[in-house]
Amino acid sequence: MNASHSTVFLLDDEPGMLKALARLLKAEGFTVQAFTSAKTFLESYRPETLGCLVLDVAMPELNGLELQQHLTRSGFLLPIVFLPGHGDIPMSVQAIKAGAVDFLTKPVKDAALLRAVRAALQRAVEQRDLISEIALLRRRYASLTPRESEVMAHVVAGQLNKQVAGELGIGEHTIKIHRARVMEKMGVESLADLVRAAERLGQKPG
Amino acid sequence: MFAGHEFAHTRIVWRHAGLVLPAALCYSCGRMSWVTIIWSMIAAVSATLATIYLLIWFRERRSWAYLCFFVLAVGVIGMAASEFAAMHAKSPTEYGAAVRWGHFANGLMAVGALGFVHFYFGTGKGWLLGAALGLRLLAVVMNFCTGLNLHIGSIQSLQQVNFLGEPVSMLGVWTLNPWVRLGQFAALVQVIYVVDASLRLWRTSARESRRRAVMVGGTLAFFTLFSSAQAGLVAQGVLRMPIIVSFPFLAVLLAMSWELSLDARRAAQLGRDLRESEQQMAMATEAANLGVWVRDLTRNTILASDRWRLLFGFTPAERLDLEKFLQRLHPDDREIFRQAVAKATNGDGRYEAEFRVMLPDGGMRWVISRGQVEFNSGGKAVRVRGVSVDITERKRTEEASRNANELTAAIFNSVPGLLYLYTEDGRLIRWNRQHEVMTGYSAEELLNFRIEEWFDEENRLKLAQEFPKIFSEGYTQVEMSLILKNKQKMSVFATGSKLILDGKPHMVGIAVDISARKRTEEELAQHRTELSHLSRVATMSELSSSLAHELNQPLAIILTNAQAAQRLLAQNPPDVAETREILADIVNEDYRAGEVIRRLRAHLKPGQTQRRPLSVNEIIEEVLRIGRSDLIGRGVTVHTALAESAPQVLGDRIQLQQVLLNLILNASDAMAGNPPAQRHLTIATAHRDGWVRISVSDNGCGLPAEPERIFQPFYTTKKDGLGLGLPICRSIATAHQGRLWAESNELAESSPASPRAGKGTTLHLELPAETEPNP
Repeated sequence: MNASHSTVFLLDDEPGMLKALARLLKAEGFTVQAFTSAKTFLESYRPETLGCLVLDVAMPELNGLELQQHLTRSGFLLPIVFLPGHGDIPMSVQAIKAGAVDFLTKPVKDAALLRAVRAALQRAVEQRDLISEIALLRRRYASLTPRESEVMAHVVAGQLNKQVAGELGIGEHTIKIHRARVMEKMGVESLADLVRAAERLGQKPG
Repeated sequence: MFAGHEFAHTRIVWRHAGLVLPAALCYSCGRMSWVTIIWSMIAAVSATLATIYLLIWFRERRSWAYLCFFVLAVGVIGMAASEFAAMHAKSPTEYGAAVRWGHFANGLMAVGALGFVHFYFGTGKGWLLGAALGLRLLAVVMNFCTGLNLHIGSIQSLQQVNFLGEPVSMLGVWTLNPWVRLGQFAALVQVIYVVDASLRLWRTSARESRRRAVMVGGTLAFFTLFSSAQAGLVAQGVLRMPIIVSFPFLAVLLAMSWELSLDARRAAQLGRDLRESEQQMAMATEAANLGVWVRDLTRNTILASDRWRLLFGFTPAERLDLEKFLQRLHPDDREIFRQAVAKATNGDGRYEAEFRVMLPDGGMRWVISRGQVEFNSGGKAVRVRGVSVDITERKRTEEASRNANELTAAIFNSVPGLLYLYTEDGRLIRWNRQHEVMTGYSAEELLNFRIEEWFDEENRLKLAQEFPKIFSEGYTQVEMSLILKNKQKMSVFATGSKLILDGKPHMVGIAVDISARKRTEEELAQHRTELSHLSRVATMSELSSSLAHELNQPLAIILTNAQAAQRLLAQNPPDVAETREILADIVNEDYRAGEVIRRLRAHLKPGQTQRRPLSVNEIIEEVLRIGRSDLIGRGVTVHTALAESAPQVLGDRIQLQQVLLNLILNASDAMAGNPPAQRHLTIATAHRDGWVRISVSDNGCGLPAEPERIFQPFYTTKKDGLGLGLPICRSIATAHQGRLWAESNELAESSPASPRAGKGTTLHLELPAETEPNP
């Protein structure tokens, strides 16, 4: 997790606030991009950029919550720290449920803000790592033969070889061979790792 | 005219003489001697005159001058007889006796002459008269007591001399009586008295009197001296002639009778004049409706003219007395009459009474009687003469006038304020009682009170403006403040109207105390101020969260900046340049926070209203700054269409902001049901015909069926609204001489000022423009 490789996007309709936040974050060594409207932000934002968004809620035209929904719908995994002038509980609940990293209110303690920003960037990194891991698993999974995929599904569901053989109508030994190949192809060494990979791929056991 | 008078006099005298002379001639023609003829004539003339004036005196007993004339004339007869006897005396004894009786006659002459002067001139000195008469009496007494007579002590012989062609007796050898000096002294005092009286008469300087003084006084003095000297000289023996005193005194008699004849002529003239004036008087009394009457108090009769009888309802022939008269008087007025009579008879005799006369036909009239009481020599009232006149009409007029005056006075005094009449130069000349009560000044102090004295500097300016207007335009009304006697002030509503009295312009008017009304107005204004303050506080609390945000914003910026600065300064090396910028921003944000607080305070502070010229556009901008956060929070989009050259209005900044803030928040509330993108608020300004209009339009839920209901207190559509916002807004508008009303946009044509109007409401606030629009 290296802060220097990531960008903190600031979005606040109040230029003074924007400037102050930028100063604070820059002083802590963050790379900062500041925007006074959601529109300008969306125009310049590139999804591959690693970073997080510090967002005021009360903005004319498109408010913070609406922007969050928009980003989510667009598939942009940008961790968001909400920093409204004044927020209320329903608003904070909605934000957090929609995936916000934190919900702070102005005036905000610098330590709290920095902690939130760091957490957001951390999550950004994690999200990026997770995404690349899933991509690898998908590639590996794609290399499985249909029979192997079948066997894997039964294995991660917790069935014994004998049970799998019975279900599929093939010999127990053959199952053993398929299973070894699945383990090899998926790059896992234990059944536990295979189950986790299956989960990442979105395969439900059973 | 004058010459005619003189001529008339002369004629009368000659006629007199003509009557007397032939008789004398006839009587004396037997002797054929001049002495006899002359002395007879003297006696005859004197006798004639004596008789005439004695007869006159009998008719006019009070004219004592006539009696004196008579005595003088008798004296002259006696003197003439004595002289005649002396001239024809046969012996010294006869001569002495004749002269002695001559002195007696002389005494009579002195009494007559002096008395005449006394009564006729009326100017002689009493003590001189007494002295002259006393001396003359003494001389007459001495005449009989000493010697042969006053002149002669004794006569030894007589001698005959020729006088007027015949021999007459006169003194031959004789001795002088030393008492003759007393006679001469008496004559001297007589002359002094006459001269003194004549001079006094002369000094009264009337033309008549002067002539009389010269004629009577001069003749008398001259002939008294002359005869005294002649007699003295004869007695001394210097003059060899008989004593002739009667002759000059005949001249005195003639002078006196001449004077008296002039009086008679004057009396005749006076008689004619009197008749004339009586006729005129009759005409005048007739014309003036005067009834003339004489009341005889001793005989209890009343003589009266026909007019008077008519006045009192008596017939012309009826015999009148006090009883009949009293019956005619109104019973209530009989006492008045008696008192008037008593007052006149006990006092100076002037009688005057007003009373009602009850006529036999049942009518009634007012009569005034004036008269004069006549007293007899004993001071007893014997007669009253006078006139009476009908004054019914005057009484009726007086009554009407008194009624009118009383009505006026009642109206004056029933005015519930000051009523006044001023001259054009500002002096108070009439006022009502209330004026004294309310101002505390007495009537003496109020008379000629200068109008400007009521006012202080400020009100005097107003007076200088309004007072001349009364005389140029006829009327004015004004609210002013008077300074009372106790130095307190009283607010009045005063009027002034022009009124011409005696040809000069005056100002009449009333002033009503409006202190109570003023106080009520002030209290109402106070209540309105308090209520509007309460409403502002309510609005502010409604806005509190957005205002808190508004205040929070700069505070957050300041905090963040400060924290950034801390970090920059902790670096090695510290970033001083950036820190400096941060501090500048902190200062700006601090100001911004202060500004928010100031606005908030202005609206929360209970304050007196302050009228100033204001720009409506600036007010709108300020209001939008206050409401900005709230409007954003409610998703309201604000459009403004402000007239660039809108004139200023006179008003209280905070109150007008309050009105607009209320209108804006109401509009926002009305649009709460719209989708967020369709909440449009439009604020427009316009000016026209001296009015500035601010219109706040929304496209919200619209008005109730009766739009005016929204201005009624406690009408509200909000869950926690008080329903006081708009009523207070309207009262503020009214207090600014403006108006506030609501219009439904469905009724209004879509106008440039509210382009988005379709559905919804527009509220208009119209205020009078303070200045001409600036270019």
